[in-house]
Amino acid sequence: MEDSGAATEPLLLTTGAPGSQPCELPTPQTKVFRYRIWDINQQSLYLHNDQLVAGYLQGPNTALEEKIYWVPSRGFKQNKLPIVLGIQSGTRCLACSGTTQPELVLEDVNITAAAAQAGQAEPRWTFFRSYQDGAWRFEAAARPGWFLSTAAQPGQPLALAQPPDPARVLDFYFQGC
Amino acid sequence: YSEGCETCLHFVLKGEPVAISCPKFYNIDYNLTWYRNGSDIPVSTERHSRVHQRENFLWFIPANLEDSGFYTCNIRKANSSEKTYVQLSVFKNDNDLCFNENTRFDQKVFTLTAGKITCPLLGYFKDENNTASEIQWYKECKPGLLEDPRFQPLKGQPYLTIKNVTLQDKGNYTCLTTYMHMGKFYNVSRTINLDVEETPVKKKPEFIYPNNNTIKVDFGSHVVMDCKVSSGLDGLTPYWQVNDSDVDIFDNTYKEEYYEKQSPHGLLIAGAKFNISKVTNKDYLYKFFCRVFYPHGHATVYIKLEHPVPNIHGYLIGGGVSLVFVIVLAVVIYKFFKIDIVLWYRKSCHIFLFKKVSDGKLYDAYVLYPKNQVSCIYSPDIFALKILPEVLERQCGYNLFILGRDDLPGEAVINVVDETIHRSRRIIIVLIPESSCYNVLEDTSEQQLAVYNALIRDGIKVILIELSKIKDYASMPESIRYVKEKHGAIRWKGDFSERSHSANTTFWKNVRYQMPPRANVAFSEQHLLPKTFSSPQTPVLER
Repeated sequence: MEDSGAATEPLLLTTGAPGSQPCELPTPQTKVFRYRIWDINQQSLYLHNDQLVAGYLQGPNTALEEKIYWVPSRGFKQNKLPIVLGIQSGTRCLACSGTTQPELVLEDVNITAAAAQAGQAEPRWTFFRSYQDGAWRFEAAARPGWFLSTAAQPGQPLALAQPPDPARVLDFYFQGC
Repeated sequence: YSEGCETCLHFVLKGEPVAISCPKFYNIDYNLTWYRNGSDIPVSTERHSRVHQRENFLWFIPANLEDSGFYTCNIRKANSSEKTYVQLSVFKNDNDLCFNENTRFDQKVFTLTAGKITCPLLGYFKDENNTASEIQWYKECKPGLLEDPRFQPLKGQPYLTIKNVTLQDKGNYTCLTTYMHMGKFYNVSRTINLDVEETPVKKKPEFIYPNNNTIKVDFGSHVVMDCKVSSGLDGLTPYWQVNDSDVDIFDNTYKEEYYEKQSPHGLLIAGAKFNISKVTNKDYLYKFFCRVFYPHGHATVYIKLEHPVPNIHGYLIGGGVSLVFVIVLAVVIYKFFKIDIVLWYRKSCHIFLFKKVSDGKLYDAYVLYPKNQVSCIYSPDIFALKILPEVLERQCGYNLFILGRDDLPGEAVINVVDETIHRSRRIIIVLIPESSCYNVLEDTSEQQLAVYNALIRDGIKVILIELSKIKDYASMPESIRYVKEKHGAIRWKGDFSERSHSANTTFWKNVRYQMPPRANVAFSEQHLLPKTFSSPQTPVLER
């Protein structure tokens, strides 16, 4: 039933992103940390339509995963483990904007510059981390009670959600790479 | 529903169905048409067709290897149209495996916690009643995984939960479901490459350094302040504070850097460090605190800079060595220049010395020499009567009593000797070798006795002057031998020329050194004065 003789060669080995590489911890990091983030449903983040989207990356697509860059946010009380999150080597930062409904946006601001400005007066880039059972949550300093979340369905943008929300995933693995 | 990945490759196992969404989508109404790349004929919308468009998705039911390639979705809205390309790759499984290693999904869970793995991209495959089929799970292509009660599939959902994950759970998990289309069932499979990482038992951070200690650092030195924490948690950032504020507020040149690195047993080393390029006084004043917050607590340690203790040992050793060196140097200088120093001292301080000289003595020295030794090659007469007075009396201002010159004729020699020696501060005995002349004192046993008495009774110092080298003292009187042994003798090295008559030759310096201190007044004046008015002898004018 299989016409193997006339089969065209699969493309996967010749095209596409460079082979996926496991995200091992490299040499000591300075100042800006490079991390992997993925939700407890195993969705990782990638860019689509200039938005951070959570989904499943197959084979060589793994290389499209956006690594998270972060620095401690020193303008806040450290007991809440405040950090500033960014992507693309820290050139774009996750920010909480929106007036009535909080909205997660990517802002073109250098992460160290954002961290230097971050404080009670400028909380948009800061997220408080909390840890439970091996997973982290990221609460927007600008909107207490709102957390980074993914949709249970893949391909949806990373957004802010207020628990409890069964349609959203709030817990993430967060690991240096 | 959209997969929403512009640059993603689409994969499907040969013989399985796949649905591809156009990466572009809009919330407004638009027309979407799929094309095979290079073809102007739109993909069929007929459901019976193996490749067809249903709603906005491109379906392959099932996919064949020749379906690999590029496809175009053409979006028309209002007056514009937009083309987007997607790539499909139809693959075969690896030999003897139920998956292709290159098309796995990487997923990761951690030991000792509950893990969840997901069978991805099944959202398309709901039947007409919008229900998904049961999912079977295989590990390394073998069934029976669910016999282990730790593995629990979630009903109606694409998840498999694993309780109490162990490192042995690593591996390839294949999930398999079916999709019914037009009355026919098709397999849909995904394979997950599951990585398991050890959860460190110790979550609480522990400081490696500092540990509430002090360090001694030199003023102005360069110090790297490094705080290290060992922890099982990613992303803990210790940070420095001093005087209740961040170190960059304390000194804006203190720029903190954070780092993290892996250490054995799944632990991480997190650190914060900054440079003190030059330690200044303010750095010695406060404790530098390193703090770290972790999810359910925090910890703090400090380090304090201290001035180094001055090196007392160094100073002691250095000082001791210098002192010893100075002493040795002084001793050496004194040894070599003792005579010059003493003579210079006498000259410089003659006023004090002169005042002190009031011991009732009349003569500075009593000179004893072998008389009438005319046959002798060394003429003791010339020496004692000419050279000695020339130097000691005329040049140095001493007052000598020379027997044979200063005694009065007719006086009993023994009386003169006894009394004069008694009134002298030194006795100068001029010696000549026995071979050249006969003994100095052999015919003056009275003198010998007197000298002996003077030595014993009055402790008068005796100066021996050898006119030439005397090899054997054995034949000398015992008193002379005693003096020689005790104080040595000064040997005359000069001749009888004018040059040897200078008080500054080594010989005369030696003699002067052994002579008592003398007020060094102008010599000529001294010599013109009467030696003493109380002298039993008549004043003698020098030549």
